[in-house]
Amino acid sequence: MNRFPHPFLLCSITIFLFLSCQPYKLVQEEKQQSYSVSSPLHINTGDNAIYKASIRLFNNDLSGLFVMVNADSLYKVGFLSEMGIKFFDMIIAQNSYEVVYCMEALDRKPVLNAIARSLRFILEDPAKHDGDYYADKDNNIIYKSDGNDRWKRKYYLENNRIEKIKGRRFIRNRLFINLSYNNNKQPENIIFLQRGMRMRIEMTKLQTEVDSRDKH
Amino acid sequence: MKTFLITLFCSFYFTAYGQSDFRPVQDIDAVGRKLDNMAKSLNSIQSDFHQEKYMDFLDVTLVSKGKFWFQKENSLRWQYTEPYNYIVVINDGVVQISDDGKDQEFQVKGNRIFEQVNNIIVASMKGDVIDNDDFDVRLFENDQYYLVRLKPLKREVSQVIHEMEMYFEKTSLQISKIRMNEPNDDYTLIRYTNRKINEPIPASVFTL
Repeated sequence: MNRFPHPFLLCSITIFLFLSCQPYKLVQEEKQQSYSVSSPLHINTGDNAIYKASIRLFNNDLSGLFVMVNADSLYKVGFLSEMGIKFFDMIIAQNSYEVVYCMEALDRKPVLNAIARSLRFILEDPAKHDGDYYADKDNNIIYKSDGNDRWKRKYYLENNRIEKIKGRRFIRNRLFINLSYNNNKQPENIIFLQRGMRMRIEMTKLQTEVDSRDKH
Repeated sequence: MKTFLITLFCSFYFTAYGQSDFRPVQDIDAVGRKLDNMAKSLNSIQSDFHQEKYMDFLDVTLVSKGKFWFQKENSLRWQYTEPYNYIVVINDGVVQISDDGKDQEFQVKGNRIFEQVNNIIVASMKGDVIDNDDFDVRLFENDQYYLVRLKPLKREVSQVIHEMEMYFEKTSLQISKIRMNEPNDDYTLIRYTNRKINEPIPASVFTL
């Protein structure tokens, strides 16, 4: 008995696979040269950004404030409740993160991994991961890179600003980030959707009185 | 070595009190009675507040402002107006939160930390903080204030709050500011201004 599938079946599968893949290859993506991409948050060294945030994770809700400080090549991030109770502090580096403090109830590695990864996508300079610029069929400019952390990234640019980020690691883990601006350099609203984790983070920029020099 | 450590600790202790001019209260019972009498005469408070949250790791101080209302026995409305709108109402053991128009509600009893924080806030407003079994209470004074230092004895609270400092004005015996020190060097300082005592508050204030 022939243990291999019928040659006709093999041919059909092969043709089907080729044709299925074809549309992706045919998307009008042309390499572009004259663009540059930088971190969506644009936090200068020593400066900070504060966002009001709500996190929905496996049907649990948590709200508070994200405070992000550019400490040279690292980012210090704190998340605290509106009333001032701290949830966690962490340091985010290019390929790693370190939790400095975390409230016991939140101290779950997959959760902290997902939050750190989401923030890294908007804090890091995309150009640090070697990539190329493309134009798609609608003439949108996309910066594509393979991160050093096994996450493939696509940054969608409009008016020289990143409006959307898509991240993918293997098939299951996907991260979608939408950024909207209101005449500012920094995005006014940021929405993160992490498919593998069923996590959604919504962040809104806060205009607040901040003092990062005087200790009390 | 042990003597050296004790000396070192004492020198820090007295230096700290020397700087802030606070000394231990001698007649704790008398001050306790004063605060207790004030608590008994108190029916309501309305006040503005100014909150500073200092985060040592980030070296950042966040400032927020708002208003609060307290009505005996346990009704409280804590409303942030700057830099965001956020309201917490505690009434009859129910917590209601309004976050930029999104409302939620839960029971205080189901949340041990919230229950503790609620007890502290209400007790501080009423002034009956001395007789509190959940804290190690110490009393200090200077010319202007009575300072009540509370160290939580329960683990779930001490993980979040290392120590609370409550400053009562000596003249009015009303609370002037609260400082919550966290296990790291972070702290939250809340100052109360424009206080109105025992003025009627509409019941609608304690609902969202």
